[in-house]
Amino acid sequence: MRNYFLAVVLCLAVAVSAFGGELSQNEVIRVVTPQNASEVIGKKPEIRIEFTVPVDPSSIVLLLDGTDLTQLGTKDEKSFTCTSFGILPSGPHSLTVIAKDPDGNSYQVNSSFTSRHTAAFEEAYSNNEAAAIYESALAKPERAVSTPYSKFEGNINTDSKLKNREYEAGFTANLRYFDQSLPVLSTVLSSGIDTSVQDLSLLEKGFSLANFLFTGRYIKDPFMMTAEIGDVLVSETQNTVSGLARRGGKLMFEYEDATLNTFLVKGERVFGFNGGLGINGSGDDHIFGASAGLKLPDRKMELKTVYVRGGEPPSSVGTATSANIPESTPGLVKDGAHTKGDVIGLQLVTDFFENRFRTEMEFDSSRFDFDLDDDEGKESDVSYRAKGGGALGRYIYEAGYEFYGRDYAVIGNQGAMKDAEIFSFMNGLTLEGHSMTLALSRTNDNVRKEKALPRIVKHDGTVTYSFMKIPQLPVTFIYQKSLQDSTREPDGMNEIEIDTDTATGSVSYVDGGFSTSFTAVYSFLNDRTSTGADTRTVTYVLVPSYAAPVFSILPMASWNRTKDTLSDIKTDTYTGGLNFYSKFFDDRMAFDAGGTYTAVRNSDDTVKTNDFNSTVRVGYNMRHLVNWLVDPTISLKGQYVRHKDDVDDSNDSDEFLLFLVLSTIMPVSL
Amino acid sequence: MKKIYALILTLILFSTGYSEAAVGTVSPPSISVTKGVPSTATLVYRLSDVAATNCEYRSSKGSFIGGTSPLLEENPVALTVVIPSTINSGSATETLRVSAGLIEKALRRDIRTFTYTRVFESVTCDDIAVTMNVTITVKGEASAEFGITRMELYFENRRPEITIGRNTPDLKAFADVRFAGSGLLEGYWEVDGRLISREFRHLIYGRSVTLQSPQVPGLPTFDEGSHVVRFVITKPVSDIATPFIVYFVTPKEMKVRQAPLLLLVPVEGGSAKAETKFSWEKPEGANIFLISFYEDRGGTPIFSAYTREPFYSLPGPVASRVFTAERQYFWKVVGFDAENQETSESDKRAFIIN
Repeated sequence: MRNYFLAVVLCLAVAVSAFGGELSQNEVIRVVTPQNASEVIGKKPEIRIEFTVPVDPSSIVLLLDGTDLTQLGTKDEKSFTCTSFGILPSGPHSLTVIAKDPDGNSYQVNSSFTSRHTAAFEEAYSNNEAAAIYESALAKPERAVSTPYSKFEGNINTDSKLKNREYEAGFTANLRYFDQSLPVLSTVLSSGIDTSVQDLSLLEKGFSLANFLFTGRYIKDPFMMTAEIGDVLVSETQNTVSGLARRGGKLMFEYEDATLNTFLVKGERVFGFNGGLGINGSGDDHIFGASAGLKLPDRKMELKTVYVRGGEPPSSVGTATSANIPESTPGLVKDGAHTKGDVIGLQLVTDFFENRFRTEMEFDSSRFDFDLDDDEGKESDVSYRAKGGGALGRYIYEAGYEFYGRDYAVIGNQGAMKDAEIFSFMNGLTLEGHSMTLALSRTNDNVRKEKALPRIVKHDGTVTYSFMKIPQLPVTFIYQKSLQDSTREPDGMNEIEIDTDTATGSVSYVDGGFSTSFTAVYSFLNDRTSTGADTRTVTYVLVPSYAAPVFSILPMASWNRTKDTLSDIKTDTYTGGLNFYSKFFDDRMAFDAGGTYTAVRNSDDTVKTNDFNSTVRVGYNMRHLVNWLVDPTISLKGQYVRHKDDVDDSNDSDEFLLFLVLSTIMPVSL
Repeated sequence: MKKIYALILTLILFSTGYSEAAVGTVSPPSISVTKGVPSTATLVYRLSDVAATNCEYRSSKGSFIGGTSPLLEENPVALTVVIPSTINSGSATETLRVSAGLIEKALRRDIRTFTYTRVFESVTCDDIAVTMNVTITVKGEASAEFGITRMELYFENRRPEITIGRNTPDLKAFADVRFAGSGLLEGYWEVDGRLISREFRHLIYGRSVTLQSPQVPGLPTFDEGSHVVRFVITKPVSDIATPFIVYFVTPKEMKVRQAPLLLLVPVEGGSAKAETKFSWEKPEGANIFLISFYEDRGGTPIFSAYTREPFYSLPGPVASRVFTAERQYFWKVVGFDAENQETSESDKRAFIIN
């Protein structure tokens, strides 16, 4: 739509300037191919323009769907020819050509065409790849009990699309296969760190469906309907559902400036074949939502209402909570509390002054049961926020107020704020080569002033300054101050007074493929109470790097010192890292390496550890010998892991492992 | 003499009484919980100095008692301490779950501190009853002791898995960490059990923070197959499990990582108008560039252009009609090689249209 608008605007502009010319626009500029209102078949159709009068070649501008392709084409006084960069999506396209004759008279022509990739379908492709990786240990010490002797992994990837007339269908998926000579996740399970039982589904022997998404679309301007089933992403408003990635379905309708969305997804994150399509189940373990939006007038105001309800079982993959319960198998825990709730929200966004003053307001009301297993029911509460801001030339500003009720909680958005009141103000100025911002905020909890709990008030301030006058040498400095105090402390509770200062400085230097950056961070948490539990941490990081088309090297070194004032113990952590990538002999050989060295020492000599690990891979790509495969590669992979503890040597290890790896991809494209 | 008899009698009675006593301790004797956050704690009940051996002490239930208020809730799970024949002590372990509802119930009665009580009685050996109490203190999220209450890991697709080609640059993992209280967070990113980088950060009350795996040393992507990523928190000591996510590296070769594309003119905050030349350094291997203009840093382009040179001049009609004078915009450049594969990318930079 924006492209059409741009084309119309440009047309009007040039028409005005050319009014009174001797020749009409169409007489001077002739779109030879694709002709106006025509349909072309091809993925990269040729665009050919002819000029009936000689034009200044440097004045020629060609816009395809609002993108300037002028410099990709060949041009002279009489003609211009180019093709699109990459595959041109099927469907309607706009073409705008602008040129001036030697006398300075300006001409412009707008044209439109539709494209389809094949005669049978507007767009039809199916790209499928089957990847196979076999790994066999050539050298493995007996004590490396968690490393398998052999491992086989496969992945079938498909990306298919079919589009014709008003209809469009697509499917993407990754199907995994995994097998090895040891139980899976033996490294994780033998690490001595608790693991949630639901995470085990992420790597299982046999076939496993990593992800999939069916998409169907019907478009008949101005109506559009989109349906998605599989691993979908749902985002509505900031204080309702935002960035919810789950398995389930979405149905979206658009009619001019009105939208209607619905979704039904599993309450927990799942992996593999668990959960099927994600749309079957009860309200206790699924999340349902609907939203309606309207943009008025001229899209300067957007109104949206959202309703979401459902339950979130305590078994989301990749997630852990403090409510876990040990399983019978040591090291495994069952996670979390089962929650259930609903929320209704209203959001209004306005931009009547072209970004000079924008407003955003949201009101939400929630009912939430924090734990289905207890005998407490749902708690109701509200949240609301309002902010206004914009950009006045070089100056930007934003001020806002947010209120989150004591029991405000949203199903599917476990990170949502609750029990807080926030005032914030930010402004910034950008000058040539300099930019600076100042952000201030005040936050307090215990919005209901409960007697059993104190109220914590926090004031934050952040100043950011960047010097970018020399593009090769950007410098940034950030200072943050946070003051935290308790008030209304109940009897028997110690007061809280914490100040935190954090200063960050970074400088980089970039020259061609070489770049280096140095960052220093100092942070001091000052516990002003009699406890005096201060902590101080300072970190220096140096990252030089060099990159060329055939290789890149990225080393790093850092030093961190942390001091705990209460125990008067200083801990130093030294880290060195290296990433190296290279390809040579016409990309037939590859040598890659990565590793990290860490040394930790403390001042009372109770910690003295050294860790080093590195992986080196040398690969030979045989694609010039087996051209029906993609990247058939034979490689040797070496892994070295060393752990040395000078205080307690019971867990010391020193392992070198060598693997032979065969890998390739078999493509099947239609 | 009478006094001596009385003393002996007293000692006999005392020793008899002492022999029938048992000392009960529970560890930890107190825990704190956070409002609105269900939590679990592992409690170890120990009975020592038990006169009789080879018997069992049983607690049929646990009770949550709120000060002078009546019973808050009961835990019907029974627990047994076995005193073996060889020693006069024994212990039992319980994973105590304090639900969000129970915390809420206490707060509604203005109770900030309550007790979890178990009474162990032996029916086989003697009639001694030993009572053990755990003090539970409720705190708000801001005033609680620094602790992690929830962690969620994901990749840039917001999922716990991602599939990428070999040598894909800048793979990032994210950790949404929800916490109570304030303090210094220490932890490290780990891939396949190997430490990649350490993290030190003061977290100040604000409920949650998103951590990101570093760019250098980044998550290794040159090794084909599945890789397990974890963010292991070493401080504060936490009872929560450590979640993990998995990325799969296919054998499909991606381009070797390139240095960032360096924008030259206009500098950050510089001015531009029609025919202003936007220029940048030409990275080795890049033949075609896509320059895009944005109204804000996070939006979609309002205008784009391809060019073979490391510069681009805004055509007059575009500058006057697409852009508004005295307004801030952003620009960014992406480089492509001869096979139209992306090789390098710049940051977004602000400029003002005059």
